[in-house]
Amino acid sequence: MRGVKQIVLLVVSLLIVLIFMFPFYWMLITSIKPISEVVTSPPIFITRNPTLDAYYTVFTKWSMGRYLLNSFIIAFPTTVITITLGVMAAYGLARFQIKGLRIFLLVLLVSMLLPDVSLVLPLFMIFSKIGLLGKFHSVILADVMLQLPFVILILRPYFSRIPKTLEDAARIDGCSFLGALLRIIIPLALPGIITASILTFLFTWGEFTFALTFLSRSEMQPITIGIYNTIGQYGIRYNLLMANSMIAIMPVVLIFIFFQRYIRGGLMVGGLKE
Amino acid sequence: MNLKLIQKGGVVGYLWILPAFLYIILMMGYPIIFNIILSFQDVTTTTLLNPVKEFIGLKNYFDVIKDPVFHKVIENSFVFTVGCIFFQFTIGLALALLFNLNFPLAGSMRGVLLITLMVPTVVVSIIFRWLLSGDFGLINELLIQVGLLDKGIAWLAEPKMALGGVMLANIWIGIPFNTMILAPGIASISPTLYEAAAIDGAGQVKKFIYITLPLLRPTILIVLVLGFIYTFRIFGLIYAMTGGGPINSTNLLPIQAYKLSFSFFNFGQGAAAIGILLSILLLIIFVYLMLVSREEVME
Repeated sequence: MRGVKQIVLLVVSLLIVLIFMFPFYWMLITSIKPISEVVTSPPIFITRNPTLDAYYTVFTKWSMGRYLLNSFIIAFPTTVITITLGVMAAYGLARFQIKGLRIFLLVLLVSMLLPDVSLVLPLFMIFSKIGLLGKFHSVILADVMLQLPFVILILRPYFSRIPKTLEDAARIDGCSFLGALLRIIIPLALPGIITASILTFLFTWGEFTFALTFLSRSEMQPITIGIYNTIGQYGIRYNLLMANSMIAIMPVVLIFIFFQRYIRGGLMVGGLKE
Repeated sequence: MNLKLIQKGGVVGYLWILPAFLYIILMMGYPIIFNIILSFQDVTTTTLLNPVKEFIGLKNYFDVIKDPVFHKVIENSFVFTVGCIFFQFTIGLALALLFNLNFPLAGSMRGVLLITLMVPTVVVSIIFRWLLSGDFGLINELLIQVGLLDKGIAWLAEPKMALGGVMLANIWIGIPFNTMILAPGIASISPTLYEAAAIDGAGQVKKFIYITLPLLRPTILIVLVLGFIYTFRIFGLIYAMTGGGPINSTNLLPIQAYKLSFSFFNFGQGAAAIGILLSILLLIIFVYLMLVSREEVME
Protein backbone atom coordinates (compact mmCIF):
# COMPACT_ATOMS: atom_id res chain seq x y z
CA MET A 1 0.00 0.00 0.00
CA ARG A 2 2.80 2.36 1.01
CA GLY A 3 4.70 1.32 -2.10
CA VAL A 4 1.74 2.15 -4.37
CA LYS A 5 1.37 5.57 -2.81
CA GLN A 6 5.04 6.29 -3.33
CA ILE A 7 4.88 5.29 -6.98
CA VAL A 8 1.81 7.48 -7.59
CA LEU A 9 3.57 10.43 -5.96
CA LEU A 10 6.70 9.79 -8.00
CA VAL A 11 4.77 9.64 -11.28
CA VAL A 12 2.77 12.78 -10.51
CA SER A 13 5.90 14.69 -9.53
CA LEU A 14 7.79 13.53 -12.60
CA LEU A 15 4.90 14.75 -14.77
CA ILE A 16 4.93 18.14 -13.05
CA VAL A 17 8.69 18.46 -13.47
CA LEU A 18 8.44 17.49 -17.14
CA ILE A 19 5.73 20.08 -17.81
CA PHE A 20 7.72 22.66 -15.90
CA MET A 21 10.90 21.94 -17.82
CA PHE A 22 9.08 21.79 -21.15
CA PRO A 23 10.05 25.32 -22.29
CA PHE A 24 13.69 24.19 -22.21
CA TYR A 25 12.87 21.11 -24.27
CA TRP A 26 11.01 23.28 -26.77
CA MET A 27 14.03 25.56 -27.04
CA LEU A 28 16.34 22.58 -27.63
CA ILE A 29 14.11 20.85 -30.19
CA THR A 30 13.41 24.09 -32.08
CA SER A 31 17.13 24.81 -32.31
CA ILE A 32 17.88 21.47 -34.02
CA LYS A 33 14.92 21.48 -36.43
CA PRO A 34 15.27 22.31 -40.10
CA ILE A 35 13.45 25.62 -40.77
CA SER A 36 10.64 23.79 -42.57
CA GLU A 37 9.65 22.08 -39.32
CA VAL A 38 9.82 25.15 -37.10
CA VAL A 39 6.64 26.94 -38.11
CA THR A 40 4.11 24.18 -38.63
CA SER A 41 0.55 23.46 -37.64
CA PRO A 42 0.19 21.11 -35.85
CA PRO A 43 3.54 21.53 -34.11
CA ILE A 44 6.21 18.85 -34.46
CA PHE A 45 7.36 17.61 -31.05
CA ILE A 46 10.07 15.19 -32.15
CA THR A 47 12.08 16.00 -35.22
CA ARG A 48 13.11 13.20 -37.57
CA ASN A 49 15.70 15.39 -39.29
CA PRO A 50 17.83 16.93 -36.56
CA THR A 51 20.38 19.39 -37.86
CA LEU A 52 22.99 21.76 -36.46
CA ASP A 53 22.42 24.26 -39.30
CA ALA A 54 21.10 26.91 -36.94
CA TYR A 55 24.19 26.63 -34.73
CA TYR A 56 26.42 26.79 -37.78
CA THR A 57 24.63 29.94 -38.95
CA VAL A 58 24.82 31.79 -35.63
CA PHE A 59 28.51 31.00 -35.24
CA THR A 60 29.57 31.85 -38.79
CA LYS A 61 27.24 34.60 -40.04
CA TRP A 62 26.96 36.23 -36.68
CA SER A 63 29.66 36.75 -34.10
CA MET A 64 28.46 34.36 -31.40
CA GLY A 65 32.02 33.56 -30.39
CA ARG A 66 32.76 37.23 -29.77
CA TYR A 67 29.69 37.64 -27.55
CA LEU A 68 30.63 34.56 -25.52
CA LEU A 69 34.16 35.90 -25.07
CA ASN A 70 32.80 39.29 -23.95
CA SER A 71 30.60 37.61 -21.37
CA PHE A 72 33.68 35.90 -19.95
CA ILE A 73 35.68 39.14 -20.05
CA ILE A 74 32.97 40.72 -17.90
CA ALA A 75 31.96 37.83 -15.63
CA PHE A 76 35.43 36.60 -14.70
CA PRO A 77 36.91 39.83 -13.25
CA THR A 78 33.55 40.62 -11.66
CA THR A 79 33.70 37.30 -9.81
CA VAL A 80 37.32 37.74 -8.73
CA ILE A 81 36.78 41.29 -7.42
CA THR A 82 33.49 40.48 -5.71
CA ILE A 83 34.86 37.39 -4.00
CA THR A 84 38.04 39.17 -2.86
CA LEU A 85 36.11 42.07 -1.33
CA GLY A 86 33.47 39.67 -0.02
CA VAL A 87 35.91 37.28 1.67
CA MET A 88 37.72 40.16 3.36
CA ALA A 89 34.51 41.70 4.65
CA ALA A 90 32.99 38.38 5.73
CA TYR A 91 36.20 37.48 7.58
CA GLY A 92 36.27 40.87 9.30
CA LEU A 93 32.61 40.65 10.28
CA ALA A 94 32.96 37.13 11.63
CA ARG A 95 36.29 37.40 13.42
CA PHE A 96 36.30 40.80 15.08
CA GLN A 97 33.99 42.70 17.38
CA ILE A 98 32.54 45.26 15.04
CA LYS A 99 30.56 48.21 16.35
CA GLY A 100 27.55 48.84 14.17
CA LEU A 101 27.49 45.26 12.90
CA ARG A 102 23.70 45.26 12.77
CA ILE A 103 23.63 48.50 10.81
CA PHE A 104 26.17 47.19 8.32
CA LEU A 105 24.16 43.98 7.84
CA LEU A 106 21.06 46.10 7.41
CA VAL A 107 22.76 48.16 4.70
CA LEU A 108 23.75 44.93 2.93
CA LEU A 109 20.23 43.54 3.13
CA VAL A 110 18.65 46.73 1.80
CA SER A 111 21.18 47.17 -1.00
CA MET A 112 20.56 43.58 -2.05
CA LEU A 113 16.87 44.35 -2.46
CA LEU A 114 17.22 47.58 -4.45
CA PRO A 115 16.55 47.31 -8.19
CA ASP A 116 19.35 47.49 -10.75
CA VAL A 117 17.36 50.13 -12.66
CA SER A 118 17.79 52.54 -9.77
CA LEU A 119 21.57 52.57 -10.33
CA VAL A 120 21.64 52.55 -14.10
CA LEU A 121 20.91 56.26 -14.72
CA PRO A 122 23.26 57.79 -12.10
CA LEU A 123 26.05 55.34 -12.98
CA PHE A 124 25.54 56.11 -16.67
CA MET A 125 26.09 59.80 -15.97
CA ILE A 126 29.01 59.26 -13.60
CA PHE A 127 30.74 56.86 -15.99
CA SER A 128 30.20 59.17 -18.93
CA LYS A 129 31.79 62.02 -16.94
CA ILE A 130 34.91 60.01 -16.09
CA GLY A 131 35.16 58.39 -19.52
CA LEU A 132 34.34 54.81 -18.58
CA LEU A 133 31.21 54.53 -20.69
CA GLY A 134 31.52 51.97 -23.48
CA LYS A 135 34.36 50.20 -21.70
CA PHE A 136 34.18 46.81 -20.00
CA HIS A 137 35.19 48.51 -16.70
CA SER A 138 31.84 50.26 -16.45
CA VAL A 139 29.84 47.04 -16.53
CA ILE A 140 32.30 45.19 -14.28
CA LEU A 141 32.23 47.94 -11.65
CA ALA A 142 28.44 48.02 -11.64
CA ASP A 143 28.10 44.23 -11.63
CA VAL A 144 30.39 43.93 -8.59
CA MET A 145 28.09 46.34 -6.76
CA LEU A 146 25.07 44.22 -7.67
CA GLN A 147 26.61 41.01 -6.27
CA LEU A 148 28.75 42.21 -3.36
CA PRO A 149 26.10 42.57 -0.61
CA PHE A 150 24.68 39.17 -1.43
CA VAL A 151 28.14 37.56 -1.42
CA ILE A 152 29.08 39.01 1.99
CA LEU A 153 25.80 37.73 3.44
CA ILE A 154 26.43 34.25 1.97
CA LEU A 155 30.03 34.09 3.19
CA ARG A 156 29.67 35.43 6.72
CA PRO A 157 28.15 32.28 8.30
CA TYR A 158 30.91 30.13 6.77
CA PHE A 159 33.55 32.27 8.50
CA SER A 160 31.59 32.57 11.77
CA ARG A 161 31.49 28.79 12.03
CA ILE A 162 35.30 28.48 12.16
CA PRO A 163 36.37 28.49 15.84
CA LYS A 164 38.69 31.38 16.64
CA THR A 165 40.84 29.03 18.75
CA LEU A 166 41.89 27.26 15.55
CA GLU A 167 43.44 30.43 14.18
CA ASP A 168 45.03 31.24 17.54
CA ALA A 169 46.54 27.73 17.75
CA ALA A 170 48.08 28.13 14.31
CA ARG A 171 49.54 31.48 15.35
CA ILE A 172 51.04 29.97 18.53
CA ASP A 173 52.57 27.19 16.44
CA GLY A 174 54.43 29.87 14.55
CA CYS A 175 52.13 30.46 11.60
CA SER A 176 52.18 34.03 10.36
CA PHE A 177 48.87 35.88 10.21
CA LEU A 178 48.73 35.51 6.44
CA GLY A 179 49.79 31.87 6.72
CA ALA A 180 46.97 31.15 9.16
CA LEU A 181 44.51 32.87 6.86
CA LEU A 182 45.63 31.02 3.75
CA ARG A 183 46.23 27.60 5.34
CA ILE A 184 43.47 27.42 7.96
CA ILE A 185 40.70 29.93 7.39
CA ILE A 186 40.30 30.00 3.61
CA PRO A 187 40.32 26.18 3.20
CA LEU A 188 37.69 25.80 5.94
CA ALA A 189 35.48 28.42 4.31
CA LEU A 190 36.06 27.00 0.85
CA PRO A 191 32.59 25.49 0.32
CA GLY A 192 31.11 28.94 0.94
CA ILE A 193 33.63 30.62 -1.32
CA ILE A 194 32.86 28.14 -4.12
CA THR A 195 29.12 28.73 -3.71
CA ALA A 196 29.52 32.49 -3.75
CA SER A 197 31.83 32.36 -6.80
CA ILE A 198 29.44 30.18 -8.79
CA LEU A 199 26.43 32.36 -8.02
CA THR A 200 28.33 35.58 -8.77
CA PHE A 201 29.53 34.19 -12.07
CA LEU A 202 26.08 32.95 -13.10
CA PHE A 203 24.22 36.13 -12.13
CA THR A 204 26.81 38.26 -13.92
CA TRP A 205 26.61 35.98 -16.95
CA GLY A 206 22.89 36.74 -17.16
CA GLU A 207 23.16 40.45 -16.38
CA PHE A 208 21.19 42.56 -18.83
CA THR A 209 20.46 46.12 -17.70
CA PHE A 210 23.96 47.56 -17.25
CA ALA A 211 25.39 45.89 -20.34
CA LEU A 212 22.42 47.13 -22.39
CA THR A 213 22.98 50.71 -21.27
CA PHE A 214 26.75 51.07 -20.89
CA LEU A 215 28.02 49.13 -23.92
CA SER A 216 26.74 50.43 -27.22
CA ARG A 217 29.32 48.93 -29.57
CA SER A 218 28.27 45.44 -30.58
CA GLU A 219 31.81 44.02 -30.55
CA MET A 220 31.93 44.65 -26.80
CA GLN A 221 28.49 43.43 -25.83
CA PRO A 222 28.01 40.25 -23.80
CA ILE A 223 25.86 37.38 -24.96
CA THR A 224 22.70 38.60 -23.19
CA ILE A 225 22.68 41.78 -25.27
CA GLY A 226 23.85 39.89 -28.37
CA ILE A 227 20.84 37.61 -28.31
CA TYR A 228 18.52 40.46 -27.34
CA ASN A 229 19.57 42.32 -30.48
CA THR A 230 18.68 39.36 -32.68
CA ILE A 231 15.04 39.29 -31.57
CA GLY A 232 14.00 41.84 -34.16
CA GLN A 233 16.64 40.78 -36.67
CA TYR A 234 15.72 37.13 -36.97
CA GLY A 235 11.96 37.66 -36.93
CA ILE A 236 10.26 34.30 -36.88
CA ARG A 237 13.33 32.25 -37.71
CA TYR A 238 12.97 30.76 -34.29
CA ASN A 239 15.47 27.96 -34.85
CA LEU A 240 18.20 30.62 -34.96
CA LEU A 241 16.88 32.41 -31.87
CA MET A 242 16.68 29.13 -29.98
CA ALA A 243 20.19 28.11 -31.06
CA ASN A 244 21.40 31.46 -29.70
CA SER A 245 19.58 30.89 -26.44
CA MET A 246 20.93 27.35 -26.13
CA ILE A 247 24.48 28.61 -26.50
CA ALA A 248 23.84 31.38 -23.94
CA ILE A 249 22.63 28.94 -21.29
CA MET A 250 25.21 26.19 -21.94
CA PRO A 251 27.68 27.41 -19.28
CA VAL A 252 24.78 27.87 -16.88
CA VAL A 253 23.49 24.34 -17.42
CA LEU A 254 26.95 22.79 -17.07
CA ILE A 255 27.73 24.67 -13.87
CA PHE A 256 24.27 23.85 -12.54
CA ILE A 257 24.70 20.13 -13.16
CA PHE A 258 28.16 19.89 -11.60
CA PHE A 259 27.67 22.25 -8.67
CA GLN A 260 23.99 21.85 -7.87
CA ARG A 261 24.45 21.21 -4.18
CA TYR A 262 26.53 24.37 -3.78
CA ILE A 263 23.95 26.44 -5.60
CA ARG A 264 21.04 25.19 -3.55
CA GLY A 265 22.88 25.80 -0.29
CA GLY A 266 23.95 29.28 -1.38
CA LEU A 267 20.54 30.46 -2.46
CA MET A 268 19.14 29.46 0.91
CA VAL A 269 21.92 30.80 3.15
CA GLY A 270 22.41 34.06 1.30
CA GLY A 271 19.03 35.26 2.44
CA LEU A 272 17.17 34.48 -0.69
CA LYS A 273 18.05 36.16 -3.88
CA GLU A 274 15.81 36.02 -6.86
CA MET B 1 47.60 42.65 27.34
CA ASN B 2 44.24 41.14 26.72
CA LEU B 3 42.52 44.50 26.49
CA LYS B 4 45.19 45.75 24.12
CA LEU B 5 44.66 42.75 21.85
CA ILE B 6 40.93 43.34 21.67
CA GLN B 7 41.42 47.00 20.86
CA LYS B 8 43.96 46.15 18.23
CA GLY B 9 41.67 43.46 16.88
CA GLY B 10 38.86 45.99 16.69
CA VAL B 11 40.78 48.33 14.42
CA VAL B 12 42.04 45.46 12.26
CA GLY B 13 38.47 44.24 11.94
CA TYR B 14 37.36 47.53 10.40
CA LEU B 15 40.25 47.42 7.95
CA TRP B 16 39.01 44.09 6.62
CA ILE B 17 35.53 45.50 6.04
CA LEU B 18 36.66 48.88 4.76
CA PRO B 19 37.19 48.01 1.05
CA ALA B 20 33.72 46.51 0.67
CA PHE B 21 32.21 49.33 2.71
CA LEU B 22 33.86 52.01 0.56
CA TYR B 23 32.81 50.17 -2.58
CA ILE B 24 29.17 50.19 -1.51
CA ILE B 25 29.34 53.88 -0.56
CA LEU B 26 30.95 54.82 -3.88
CA MET B 27 28.95 52.62 -6.21
CA MET B 28 25.58 52.62 -4.49
CA GLY B 29 25.38 55.36 -1.85
CA TYR B 30 26.79 58.09 -4.08
CA PRO B 31 24.78 57.13 -7.21
CA ILE B 32 21.53 57.10 -5.26
CA ILE B 33 22.22 60.56 -3.82
CA PHE B 34 23.25 61.68 -7.31
CA ASN B 35 19.93 60.33 -8.59
CA ILE B 36 17.94 62.21 -5.93
CA ILE B 37 19.69 65.49 -6.78
CA LEU B 38 19.11 64.82 -10.48
CA SER B 39 15.40 64.33 -9.85
CA PHE B 40 15.13 67.95 -8.66
CA GLN B 41 16.97 69.37 -11.65
CA ASP B 42 16.04 70.22 -15.21
CA VAL B 43 18.18 67.72 -17.10
CA THR B 44 17.37 66.85 -20.71
CA THR B 45 19.58 66.37 -23.73
CA THR B 46 19.69 70.14 -24.27
CA THR B 47 20.72 70.97 -20.71
CA LEU B 48 22.84 67.85 -20.08
CA LEU B 49 26.15 69.55 -20.78
CA ASN B 50 25.42 72.76 -18.87
CA PRO B 51 27.80 73.08 -15.94
CA VAL B 52 25.04 74.29 -13.63
CA LYS B 53 21.65 72.62 -13.87
CA GLU B 54 18.56 74.52 -12.94
CA PHE B 55 16.93 73.46 -9.69
CA ILE B 56 13.21 73.03 -10.37
CA GLY B 57 11.96 71.55 -7.10
CA LEU B 58 9.33 68.88 -7.46
CA LYS B 59 8.44 69.71 -11.06
CA ASN B 60 9.90 66.46 -12.43
CA TYR B 61 7.84 64.45 -9.96
CA PHE B 62 4.66 66.34 -10.90
CA ASP B 63 5.36 65.91 -14.60
CA VAL B 64 5.93 62.17 -14.20
CA ILE B 65 2.76 61.71 -12.15
CA LYS B 66 0.58 63.96 -14.36
CA ASP B 67 1.51 62.01 -17.47
CA PRO B 68 -1.58 59.92 -18.40
CA VAL B 69 0.74 56.98 -19.12
CA PHE B 70 1.81 56.98 -15.47
CA HIS B 71 -1.60 55.86 -14.22
CA LYS B 72 -1.52 52.96 -16.62
CA VAL B 73 2.02 52.17 -15.43
CA ILE B 74 1.08 52.11 -11.75
CA GLU B 75 -2.03 50.05 -12.46
CA ASN B 76 0.03 47.58 -14.56
CA SER B 77 2.71 47.35 -11.89
CA PHE B 78 0.28 46.38 -9.18
CA VAL B 79 -1.78 44.02 -11.37
CA PHE B 80 1.44 42.37 -12.53
CA THR B 81 2.94 42.08 -9.05
CA VAL B 82 -0.18 40.88 -7.24
CA GLY B 83 -1.14 38.52 -10.06
CA CYS B 84 2.32 36.98 -10.30
CA ILE B 85 2.61 36.54 -6.56
CA PHE B 86 -0.83 34.94 -6.30
CA PHE B 87 -0.01 32.24 -8.84
CA GLN B 88 3.63 31.65 -8.02
CA PHE B 89 2.91 31.48 -4.30
CA THR B 90 -0.05 29.10 -4.64
CA ILE B 91 1.70 26.78 -7.07
CA GLY B 92 5.02 27.12 -5.22
CA LEU B 93 3.34 26.16 -1.93
CA ALA B 94 1.61 23.19 -3.55
CA LEU B 95 4.92 21.96 -4.94
CA ALA B 96 6.70 22.50 -1.62
CA LEU B 97 4.04 20.36 0.09
CA LEU B 98 4.31 17.71 -2.62
CA PHE B 99 8.10 17.48 -2.57
CA ASN B 100 8.07 17.35 1.21
CA LEU B 101 6.29 13.98 1.09
CA ASN B 102 8.41 10.91 1.39
CA PHE B 103 9.02 9.34 -2.04
CA PRO B 104 12.06 8.62 -4.20
CA LEU B 105 13.78 11.57 -5.94
CA ALA B 106 11.62 14.18 -4.16
CA GLY B 107 14.65 16.26 -3.14
CA SER B 108 16.41 16.13 -6.49
CA MET B 109 13.28 17.05 -8.41
CA ARG B 110 12.82 20.09 -6.19
CA GLY B 111 16.46 20.99 -6.85
CA VAL B 112 16.15 20.68 -10.63
CA LEU B 113 13.39 23.32 -10.73
CA LEU B 114 15.83 25.90 -9.36
CA ILE B 115 17.49 26.17 -12.76
CA THR B 116 14.90 28.75 -13.83
CA LEU B 117 16.48 31.10 -11.29
CA MET B 118 19.92 30.74 -12.81
CA VAL B 119 19.09 31.06 -16.51
CA PRO B 120 19.65 34.58 -17.94
CA THR B 121 16.27 36.33 -17.94
CA VAL B 122 16.69 37.44 -21.55
CA VAL B 123 16.73 33.77 -22.55
CA VAL B 124 13.44 33.28 -20.70
CA SER B 125 12.10 36.31 -22.59
CA ILE B 126 13.04 34.79 -25.94
CA ILE B 127 11.65 31.32 -25.11
CA PHE B 128 8.32 32.79 -24.03
CA ARG B 129 8.16 35.09 -27.06
CA TRP B 130 8.36 31.90 -29.11
CA LEU B 131 5.84 29.98 -26.98
CA LEU B 132 3.39 32.90 -27.08
CA SER B 133 4.02 33.84 -30.69
CA GLY B 134 1.02 34.54 -32.92
CA ASP B 135 2.75 32.74 -35.78
CA PHE B 136 2.73 29.05 -34.92
CA GLY B 137 3.51 29.65 -31.24
CA LEU B 138 3.07 26.45 -29.26
CA ILE B 139 0.50 27.82 -26.81
CA ASN B 140 -1.76 28.91 -29.66
CA GLU B 141 -1.41 25.59 -31.43
CA LEU B 142 -2.30 23.66 -28.27
CA LEU B 143 -5.31 25.86 -27.53
CA ILE B 144 -6.54 25.45 -31.11
CA GLN B 145 -6.15 21.67 -30.95
CA VAL B 146 -8.20 21.31 -27.78
CA GLY B 147 -10.81 23.60 -29.30
CA LEU B 148 -10.43 26.61 -27.00
CA LEU B 149 -9.39 28.89 -29.85
CA ASP B 150 -10.46 29.10 -33.49
CA LYS B 151 -7.37 30.90 -34.66
CA GLY B 152 -4.14 32.01 -33.09
CA ILE B 153 -3.78 35.12 -30.93
CA ALA B 154 -0.61 37.19 -31.04
CA TRP B 155 -0.50 37.23 -27.23
CA LEU B 156 2.29 39.73 -26.83
CA ALA B 157 1.07 42.04 -29.61
CA GLU B 158 -2.47 42.21 -28.27
CA PRO B 159 -2.87 45.03 -25.70
CA LYS B 160 -5.49 43.09 -23.74
CA MET B 161 -3.43 39.91 -23.57
CA ALA B 162 0.20 41.10 -23.35
CA LEU B 163 0.29 41.66 -19.59
CA GLY B 164 -0.99 38.12 -19.06
CA GLY B 165 1.72 36.87 -21.39
CA VAL B 166 4.59 38.50 -19.52
CA MET B 167 3.05 37.36 -16.24
CA LEU B 168 3.13 33.77 -17.46
CA ALA B 169 6.89 33.99 -18.04
CA ASN B 170 7.53 35.59 -14.67
CA ILE B 171 5.34 33.11 -12.79
CA TRP B 172 7.37 30.32 -14.38
CA ILE B 173 10.55 31.85 -12.92
CA GLY B 174 8.92 32.61 -9.57
CA ILE B 175 7.47 29.20 -8.68
CA PRO B 176 10.79 27.52 -7.73
CA PHE B 177 11.74 30.60 -5.71
CA ASN B 178 8.61 30.20 -3.60
CA THR B 179 9.04 26.44 -3.31
CA MET B 180 12.66 26.87 -2.27
CA ILE B 181 11.85 29.20 0.62
CA LEU B 182 8.68 27.42 1.79
CA ALA B 183 10.01 23.85 1.69
CA PRO B 184 12.40 24.05 4.69
CA GLY B 185 9.64 25.72 6.70
CA ILE B 186 7.29 22.85 5.97
CA ALA B 187 9.98 20.26 6.69
CA SER B 188 10.65 21.80 10.10
CA ILE B 189 7.10 21.18 11.33
CA SER B 190 7.23 18.26 13.76
CA PRO B 191 5.49 15.11 12.45
CA THR B 192 4.20 14.36 15.93
CA LEU B 193 1.80 17.29 15.56
CA TYR B 194 0.24 15.65 12.51
CA GLU B 195 0.12 12.28 14.28
CA ALA B 196 -1.63 13.80 17.26
CA ALA B 197 -4.12 15.53 14.96
CA ALA B 198 -4.73 12.26 13.11
CA ILE B 199 -5.55 10.53 16.41
CA ASP B 200 -8.06 13.29 17.10
CA GLY B 201 -9.63 12.50 13.74
CA ALA B 202 -8.38 15.41 11.63
CA GLY B 203 -8.24 14.84 7.86
CA GLN B 204 -5.64 16.18 5.43
CA VAL B 205 -7.48 19.45 4.86
CA LYS B 206 -7.92 20.15 8.55
CA LYS B 207 -4.27 19.31 9.23
CA PHE B 208 -3.25 21.78 6.53
CA ILE B 209 -5.50 24.58 7.81
CA TYR B 210 -4.91 24.10 11.55
CA ILE B 211 -1.28 22.94 11.66
CA THR B 212 0.66 23.67 8.46
CA LEU B 213 -0.62 27.17 7.70
CA PRO B 214 -0.35 28.67 11.22
CA LEU B 215 3.13 27.24 11.81
CA LEU B 216 4.25 28.34 8.36
CA ARG B 217 2.94 31.87 8.83
CA PRO B 218 6.31 33.60 9.40
CA THR B 219 7.82 31.94 6.32
CA ILE B 220 4.75 32.78 4.26
CA LEU B 221 4.92 36.45 5.25
CA ILE B 222 8.59 36.64 4.33
CA VAL B 223 8.11 34.92 0.97
CA LEU B 224 5.20 37.23 0.11
CA VAL B 225 7.01 40.43 1.01
CA LEU B 226 10.24 39.35 -0.71
CA GLY B 227 8.20 38.22 -3.69
CA PHE B 228 6.59 41.65 -3.86
CA ILE B 229 9.98 43.40 -3.86
CA TYR B 230 11.50 41.10 -6.47
CA THR B 231 8.44 41.26 -8.72
CA PHE B 232 7.83 44.99 -8.46
CA ARG B 233 11.40 45.81 -9.51
CA ILE B 234 11.51 43.53 -12.59
CA PHE B 235 12.98 45.15 -15.66
CA GLY B 236 15.01 42.98 -18.08
CA LEU B 237 12.55 40.12 -18.50
CA ILE B 238 9.77 42.39 -19.70
CA TYR B 239 11.92 44.92 -21.50
CA ALA B 240 13.24 42.09 -23.69
CA MET B 241 9.81 40.50 -24.15
CA THR B 242 7.70 43.50 -25.08
CA GLY B 243 9.66 46.70 -24.35
CA GLY B 244 6.61 47.80 -22.34
CA GLY B 245 4.26 47.70 -25.31
CA PRO B 246 1.98 47.33 -27.12
CA ILE B 247 0.58 50.79 -26.26
CA ASN B 248 2.00 50.66 -22.73
CA SER B 249 0.00 47.55 -21.88
CA THR B 250 3.06 45.94 -20.25
CA ASN B 251 4.73 49.16 -19.18
CA LEU B 252 5.72 48.81 -15.52
CA LEU B 253 7.31 51.40 -13.24
CA PRO B 254 10.97 50.28 -13.73
CA ILE B 255 10.45 50.20 -17.51
CA GLN B 256 8.82 53.61 -17.57
CA ALA B 257 11.69 55.02 -15.48
CA TYR B 258 14.25 53.51 -17.84
CA LYS B 259 12.48 54.76 -20.94
CA LEU B 260 12.11 58.30 -19.60
CA SER B 261 15.90 58.43 -19.38
CA PHE B 262 17.11 56.29 -22.24
CA SER B 263 14.33 56.51 -24.86
CA PHE B 264 13.02 60.04 -24.25
CA PHE B 265 16.29 61.42 -22.81
CA ASN B 266 14.46 63.28 -20.09
CA PHE B 267 16.96 62.40 -17.40
CA GLY B 268 15.43 64.57 -14.68
CA GLN B 269 12.05 62.87 -15.07
CA GLY B 270 13.73 59.47 -15.29
CA ALA B 271 15.45 60.18 -11.99
CA ALA B 272 12.13 61.26 -10.46
CA ALA B 273 10.47 58.04 -11.62
CA ILE B 274 13.30 56.10 -9.97
CA GLY B 275 12.68 58.17 -6.84
CA ILE B 276 9.05 57.06 -6.84
CA LEU B 277 10.06 53.42 -7.44
CA LEU B 278 12.59 53.56 -4.59
CA SER B 279 10.05 55.13 -2.21
CA ILE B 280 7.57 52.33 -2.83
CA LEU B 281 10.24 49.64 -2.50
CA LEU B 282 11.80 51.13 0.63
CA LEU B 283 8.37 51.15 2.25
CA ILE B 284 8.00 47.43 1.51
CA ILE B 285 11.62 46.73 2.52
CA PHE B 286 10.87 48.42 5.83
CA VAL B 287 7.95 46.02 6.34
CA TYR B 288 10.26 43.14 5.40
CA LEU B 289 12.91 44.22 7.90
CA MET B 290 10.30 44.46 10.65
CA LEU B 291 9.26 40.91 9.81
CA VAL B 292 12.74 39.40 9.71
CA SER B 293 13.88 41.16 12.85
CA ARG B 294 10.80 39.83 14.62
CA GLU B 295 11.57 36.33 13.34
CA GLU B 296 15.20 36.90 14.37
CA VAL B 297 16.58 35.82 11.03
CA MET B 298 19.18 38.54 11.52
CA GLU B 299 20.48 36.68 14.62
